[in-house]
Amino acid sequence: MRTVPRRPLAAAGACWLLLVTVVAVFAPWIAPYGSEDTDLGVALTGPGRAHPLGVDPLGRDELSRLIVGSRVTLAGVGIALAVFVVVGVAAGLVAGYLGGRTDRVLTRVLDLVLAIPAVLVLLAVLSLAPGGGLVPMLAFGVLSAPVSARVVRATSLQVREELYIAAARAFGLSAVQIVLRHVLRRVVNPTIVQAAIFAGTALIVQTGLAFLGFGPRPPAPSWGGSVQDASEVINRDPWLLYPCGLVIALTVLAFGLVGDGLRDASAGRWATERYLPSRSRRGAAAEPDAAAVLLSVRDLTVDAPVGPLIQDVSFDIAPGEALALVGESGCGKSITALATLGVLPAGLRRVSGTITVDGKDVTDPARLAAVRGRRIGYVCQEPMTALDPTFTVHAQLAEAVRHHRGVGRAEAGEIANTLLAQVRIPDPTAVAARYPHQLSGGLAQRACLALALAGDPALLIADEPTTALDVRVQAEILALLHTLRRDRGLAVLLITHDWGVVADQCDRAIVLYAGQIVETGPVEDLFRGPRHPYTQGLLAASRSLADPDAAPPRIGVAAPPLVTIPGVVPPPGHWPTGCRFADRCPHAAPACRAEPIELHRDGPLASRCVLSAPAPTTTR
Amino acid sequence: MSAPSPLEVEHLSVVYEGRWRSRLVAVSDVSFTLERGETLALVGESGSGKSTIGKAIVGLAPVSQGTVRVAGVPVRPAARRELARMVQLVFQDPYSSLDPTKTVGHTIAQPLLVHERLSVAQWGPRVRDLLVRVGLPGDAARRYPAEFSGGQRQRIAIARALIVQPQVVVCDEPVSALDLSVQAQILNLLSQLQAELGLSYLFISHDLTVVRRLAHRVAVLWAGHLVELGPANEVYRQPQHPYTRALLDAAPVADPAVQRGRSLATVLHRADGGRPLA
Amino acid sequence: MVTVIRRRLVSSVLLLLVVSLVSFLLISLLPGSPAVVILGPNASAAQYRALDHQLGLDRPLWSQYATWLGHAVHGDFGSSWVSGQPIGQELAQRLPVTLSLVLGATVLAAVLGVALGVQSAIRSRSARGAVDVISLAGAAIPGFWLGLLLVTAFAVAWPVLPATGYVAFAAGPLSWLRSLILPWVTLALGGSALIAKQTRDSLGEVLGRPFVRVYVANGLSTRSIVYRHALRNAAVPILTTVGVVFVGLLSGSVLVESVFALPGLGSAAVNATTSHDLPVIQAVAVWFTVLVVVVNLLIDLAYVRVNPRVRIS
Repeated sequence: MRTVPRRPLAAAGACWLLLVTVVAVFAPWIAPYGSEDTDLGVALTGPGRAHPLGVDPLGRDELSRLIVGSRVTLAGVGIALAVFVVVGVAAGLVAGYLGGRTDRVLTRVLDLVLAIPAVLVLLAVLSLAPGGGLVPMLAFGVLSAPVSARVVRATSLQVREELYIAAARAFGLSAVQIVLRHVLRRVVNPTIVQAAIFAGTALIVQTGLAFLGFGPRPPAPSWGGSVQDASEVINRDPWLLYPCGLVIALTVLAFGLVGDGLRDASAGRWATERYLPSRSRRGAAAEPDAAAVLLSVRDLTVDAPVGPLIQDVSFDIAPGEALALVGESGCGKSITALATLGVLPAGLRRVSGTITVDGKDVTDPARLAAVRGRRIGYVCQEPMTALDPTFTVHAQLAEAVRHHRGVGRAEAGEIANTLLAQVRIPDPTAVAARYPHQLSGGLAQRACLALALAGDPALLIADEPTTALDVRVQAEILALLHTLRRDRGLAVLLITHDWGVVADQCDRAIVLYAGQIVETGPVEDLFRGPRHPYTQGLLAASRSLADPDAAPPRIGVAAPPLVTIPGVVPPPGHWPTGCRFADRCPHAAPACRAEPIELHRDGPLASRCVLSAPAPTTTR
Repeated sequence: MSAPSPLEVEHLSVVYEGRWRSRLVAVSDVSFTLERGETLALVGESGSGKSTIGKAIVGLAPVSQGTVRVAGVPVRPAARRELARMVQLVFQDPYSSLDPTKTVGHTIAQPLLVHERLSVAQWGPRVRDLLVRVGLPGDAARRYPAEFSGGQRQRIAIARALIVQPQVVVCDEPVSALDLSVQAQILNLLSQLQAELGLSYLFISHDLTVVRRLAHRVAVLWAGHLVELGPANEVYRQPQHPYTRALLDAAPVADPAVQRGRSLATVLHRADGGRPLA
Repeated sequence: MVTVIRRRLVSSVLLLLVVSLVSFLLISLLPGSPAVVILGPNASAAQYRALDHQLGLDRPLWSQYATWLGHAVHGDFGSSWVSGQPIGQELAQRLPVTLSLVLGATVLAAVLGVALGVQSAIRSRSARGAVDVISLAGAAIPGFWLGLLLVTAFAVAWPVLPATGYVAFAAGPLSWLRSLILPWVTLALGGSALIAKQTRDSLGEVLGRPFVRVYVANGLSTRSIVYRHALRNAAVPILTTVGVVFVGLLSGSVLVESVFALPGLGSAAVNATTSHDLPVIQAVAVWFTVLVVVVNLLIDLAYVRVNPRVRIS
């Protein structure tokens, strides 16, 4: 709730609801006139000093009628709301947490109840128990409870799959204990949101019934009744329609605003990223740059609200070359790739840098868009979610081929089949007819590769393409990448944290740490003699883990410790001024923390470390 | 008679009965034992049944056939509370395995609350000791999981597993979600705790490399079957089963000179008509 | 796919039985007896008994229900307690009015809602704010009040459309259209707000999925990504909402028919409520349920079209 003040609309809604509630509680003392006192002399005189909201056809003060009428109106909403929450939460928790057959039966029943036309049941109830009362609203609460039950069920089904629930079960907690300790708490937020939305609906139903004449018996006031009274004199005095209608609309609106505010507050942490590129105009003319470089990235910097994510990242890729982007998570590997492609998630911004493809400046979003798919293809880490689940593999490939190559439907289909054969899918026609969820991880990754190749790009950006795969499938995909590079002359920018993959695929590597390039050079040299302590640490950790000559562990004796890098990568926004690795570095000296370290070339390698830099006196 | 071994699995099968009479045999006739202070690595690819075995041992998966005994006590639903004191679990995903709404102290103490109904004053010192032991500051107990990194969260999960002083800890891919340098930190911690406390580990992993420095013995699973079980040294140097050999060969070596040759061999082999696996 | 339809048909029949049973049981709960309601309090005991017998109310409940059900299956819902007229015929004349009103309003709400929702999901923050305001207002304004406002504006102050009444399609398509414009708008506004919100939320969620990033990064056009791929992935919750909106509009039609004096099923139910004519309410409830069932079945078929997982399993 502490987030509400930052949402002025929700706060305003909450204030209005508070006001209405207070007015309803103290109505008899607040109302300036008796709600049923008539003075036919002033009937329909419109708003004035004595009657700020006007007078109804029977000469009753409209303001007093609305104030007193709020009681029966809100009471009806309250009853419906209470039933809605209690019945819904109970049914939802039982269905969602127990699952299985209980869930199936309960879900059926809930669906059944939801399909019953509620208003007619209310009318039937009213024809039996005339005169308003709270029974119809109680019935409405019951009939609507499946809505909250569904939400609660969905949430508890999801919570049930969390590992901490499995842990709690393994500790021996009973189902009831687990629901009370872990599940109920997660259900509270969505339930409150649903309740706020439902309260608005209940208010409309309550006033609607009163409008139809099924509210409290005539002289007694209610909001819906006031609308009814006003509707009878619509030709003579339309004014009366506004106060009662507005008060209903404002209250429903207030419920909606509070509900939205609560929903946003609880969803804020998981706000979805959106990858649609932003629209923009075409930019300046390209400067010709005659170099045998396929892709050139200069001084790329990306900002997030917490601070920069990568800073001044520059690299080149020659045709047919394989370049690795290495580092721990949180160092900016993926961000570098996405920024190069111009597809940063919402909230992130490229603040500087130029991107050149085939010697042409494509930094401008529109130019970059023209390059995507045609010169640069992209493959991501999770092949199972990287394709549209609602189309067959073949349909997706053919669409991409048509879009990029401008060929007809039939030809695109042919090319799609060829692509599937090129990524070495056994029985390509059978696989092409499948939907993504019918593929294994390895097949899905091959299909993703085919999609990335649809526009016949010269460069493939592959973001951890084998991390999610089993080790034998990884070997297959790596072998396929070799083949594609050999047969098509494909260049690859390969993002990975696995030095084995780097050794297998790449000619050169870039090591990223905390958003900066800390070392770069040919892979052989990097493995043989890394200059930067971070690269040294990563390689040592990798080697010590896989060391075939290490003594086998003995029972009862602690194994000699593996080589580690102490500490963690500093998060964006907390990067030190000097060397960003200094806090974890075994060689850290005062000079490291004094000022930003430049990237120094030393033989084939370039690294960002004072140790590998020329002596301080020789620097500028 | 000597004390029963911490974990005995005999002819274990796990079968899931689906709707419409479908059956899924996740684990088929698997037997092994675990000695005190020993680490047995259970290695296999996705779908090999390795995680299911771990779940069956802590009572989260049904034992369809065979027996599982923890310190001599057969695993069955009625004995879950008793068993929970002897065998505990560390999960792969350090994010989903901690309740985001509970403090770290509360999370770690939860198994105690179930078993001993202690007050905060009573469990406070024990939780603090354990936090220090797993390499976290003692005041971490008052903070929430969201404030910790993946590696730190995994330390919290280990502390939670150890609070009831179990004999056996089932580690289900405890480092695969972590970065390389952090993986080594956690593996070192596990090794050190084992030596200090005489714990037995069942270490489930898809990666033979990760368990190399920790495992005393290695069991290789394929499609629910145990295809190889032996001292780690022998399994690494002279794998008996072709599947084990395939797994060892498939992992790329972090040395360009070596790996280039291996990878070239793979490409040539495939070009010779080798069928892709997937 | 066949199993989906079969399962849905079974639950539809079940639903119809439940609704009819519930509405039937309500009669037995009526305080006093229907005869008292119909004849007034001053008739003789013999007269009450005769009427009970005539209405079949002196037989056991299950036998009454069986008889009623047997007739209802053939569209015969008995006679009104008040007018004595056969209900089936009366309602058959009213059905086209309600159908024109609710189906038209649902289509309007769906078109408007999806269009607004898509714009809200893909446009800038300020455009999103505008859509949010429109949908909040749409959800907050009660239909019966909006109807009255529209009448004061377009029938009283600036008389371009009829304030009340219904013209059959056969009697003149243009007049039919004119008689329904205000009711359609009145009814559709709230529903379109709900659909817009759902479209925005589920489209927004889909646009954050990895495959969208892959598609964008591989250079597919934004239009194809949004309209061909993302919207299709977001379709299931949107269709569900359209179904919910249809049910809601059916309920809302009861009020809107009263406001615009449209001779549909809803106004029949309201009149019957006032005069305690339960068999009429019962019959309207059954008709409404049939409509809900048919629309849900259509939506299920649409699910199957957009979601290959349902189709295959």
